[in-house]
Amino acid sequence: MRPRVLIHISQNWIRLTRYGGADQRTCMVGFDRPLQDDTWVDGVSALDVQLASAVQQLGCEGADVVALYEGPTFVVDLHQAPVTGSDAIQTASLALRDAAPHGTADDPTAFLILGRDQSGAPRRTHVLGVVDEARHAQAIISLVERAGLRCRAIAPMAATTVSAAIEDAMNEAGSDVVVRLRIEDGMSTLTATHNGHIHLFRMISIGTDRLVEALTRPILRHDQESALSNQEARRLLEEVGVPEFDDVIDESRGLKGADLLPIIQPVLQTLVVEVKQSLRFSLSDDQRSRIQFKVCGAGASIRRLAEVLSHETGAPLAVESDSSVAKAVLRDDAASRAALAEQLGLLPPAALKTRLNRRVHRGLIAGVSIAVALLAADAAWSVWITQSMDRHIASLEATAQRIGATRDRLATAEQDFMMSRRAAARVPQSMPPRAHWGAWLAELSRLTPTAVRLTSVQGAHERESVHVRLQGRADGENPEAARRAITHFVDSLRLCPLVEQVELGGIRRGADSAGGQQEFDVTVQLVAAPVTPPPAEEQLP
Amino acid sequence: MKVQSTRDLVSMGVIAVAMVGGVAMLINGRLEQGLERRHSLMDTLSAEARFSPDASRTIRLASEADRLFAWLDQGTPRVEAPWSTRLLELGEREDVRIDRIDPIAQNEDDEDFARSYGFTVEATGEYERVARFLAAIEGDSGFNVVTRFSLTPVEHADGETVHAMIQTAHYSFDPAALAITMAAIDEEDE
Repeated sequence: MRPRVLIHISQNWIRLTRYGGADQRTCMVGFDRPLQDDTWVDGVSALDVQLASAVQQLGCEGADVVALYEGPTFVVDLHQAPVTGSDAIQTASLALRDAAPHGTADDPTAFLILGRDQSGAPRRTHVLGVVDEARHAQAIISLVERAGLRCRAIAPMAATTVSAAIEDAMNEAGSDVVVRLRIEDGMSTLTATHNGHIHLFRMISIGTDRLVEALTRPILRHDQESALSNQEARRLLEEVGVPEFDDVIDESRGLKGADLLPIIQPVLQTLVVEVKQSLRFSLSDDQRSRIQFKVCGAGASIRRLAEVLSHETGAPLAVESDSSVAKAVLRDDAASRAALAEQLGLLPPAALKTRLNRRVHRGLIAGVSIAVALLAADAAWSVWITQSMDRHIASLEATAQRIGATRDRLATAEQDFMMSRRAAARVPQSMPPRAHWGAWLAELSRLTPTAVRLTSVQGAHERESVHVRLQGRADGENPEAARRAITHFVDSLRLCPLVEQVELGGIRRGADSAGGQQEFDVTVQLVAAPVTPPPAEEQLP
Repeated sequence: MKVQSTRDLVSMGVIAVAMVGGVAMLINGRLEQGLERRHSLMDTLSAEARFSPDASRTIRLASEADRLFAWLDQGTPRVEAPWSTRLLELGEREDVRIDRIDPIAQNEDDEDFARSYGFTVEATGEYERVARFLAAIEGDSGFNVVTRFSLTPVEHADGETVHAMIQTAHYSFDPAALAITMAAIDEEDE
């Protein structure tokens, strides 16, 4: 996670605070002399060195940054409207336009509802309005980005000061009138709260920076002038605060409180006058009689400042002043200020566009990355599926080859079967039928009566039939008996199952005509059986 | 990375979409095509695997073909000498005296399927034995036919002795020659 850093850019110093974790460190770089307005002309590039040095010291390169700044053109306005919500913002917008008539549509403007009175009539909504010139807001953003940081939000320091002041004031719900003077670098705020109603809010253009500035003025002692640098003056203020008349400040230089009080007294006096006048014109006598005075902010840590101001204004210091100081310090928490700045969202249109473009750019890169990753995943999945399918196909191909071989064998078997059957069917056409000669001759022998004697048996195939020509003679007592024997022989031939047809060719007198001998000629057509293949053992489809 | 202008971002977006689309079409499209081809091939192979031929039918057809081929090729010698010897053996077996054996010219049909040759046999023996001799010729293995014969009693002999003139025909068949002829006829028809 990127580190988060809050940057304060004041007229006199830059302070970087790392926040958002246990390691909350601060680095502060002071300027030798306060920033002048001409510093902003060249986009505050004069601060590049100091900021880079601070970033290096804190080790927060590339951090997300919220920048609080003091600039020459920002306007911070607290508008207290008796209406709520968008109406309150609308009226605050009109008020801000009056307060900053130079503002244009391109200037970054922001509004934030800080809260609403808990009581009083009318109860008012406190709306913070902020506007600055776009070029100065952009200058702060550019300064931050030149230092290698990423600017998330910017806001004038005054805006966070006002916000903290209102928040503190609204937290005061007691019956006493609590007057709270928040002294920050660059400005102070004065609030007076009674029963949860903020009676007074005022911004005072005197802050700790004015005290530091006062301490840098020449100090006249024993007719000799000496002067402190800006950083020396700040360190002195932090260490000594508002000295007593007789305090010894720096023995080596011979500095005493009496030497410093004349140069800071005008600043204190001006602040006291501002406070007194404000209280006089904003609070009733009754309320002024019940004042509890509290000092908070960075000024609360300056020694004796609260006591001096209480004494000078005549407002009694609250008993829990110490705790209020601690509270104020806590309120100075970097995280809450950064959160407020981010809530305000005071960014120029160009910066907003840049931020939007950056997000689109990141989104584009992320989208392309995701798309590429998805494509890669899809491709990997496809490759995996392809390899898996290739393996499956290889096994299927082996199976298909086996099936193909089986199919080939079947085709060969079918072809052989058809060829063999066709050839077998041609056999009866290619050779003559069989007549079963052996059986026929045996049957002929059996059927031939003793009176008949065969002189010639001639068998032959003629075309599709089988014929046998029988020649012989029959002996009898007389020709009639011999002819009857022949006729009887022919009839018995006709009854033979091997015989299909019998034709008696002729009967004539034989050589032994005295004994009645008769010769005959018979043609027999036999039953022929074509040669056929043996029947199949089983029915084939 | 330096943030681009809106126009640059739009251009970059278009280029990125085009690149991603192009990559998707080039790589993934090709892979998808490969997958589709494989799916198709798998479907084809699976269909072929589902319609596996009946192996038992193959066996039965082959067995029947073998049986028919064996019948066609049964023991008929394709030269004359073995059958002339066989006739002598049959005559001796049936106690018929073979007086003479003369071969008859060979015949072949037009399709080279059937080839035949024969003999003229003069034999003498008892009627019953000659009858069995004729039955033995036709009943012996092979395609043998007695195409013609004449039996005449032998004069001055005892009993039923006859003189026989026998013509035989012995056939052999070549199924392969028939298949070639039929295939040629089929081709001509087509």
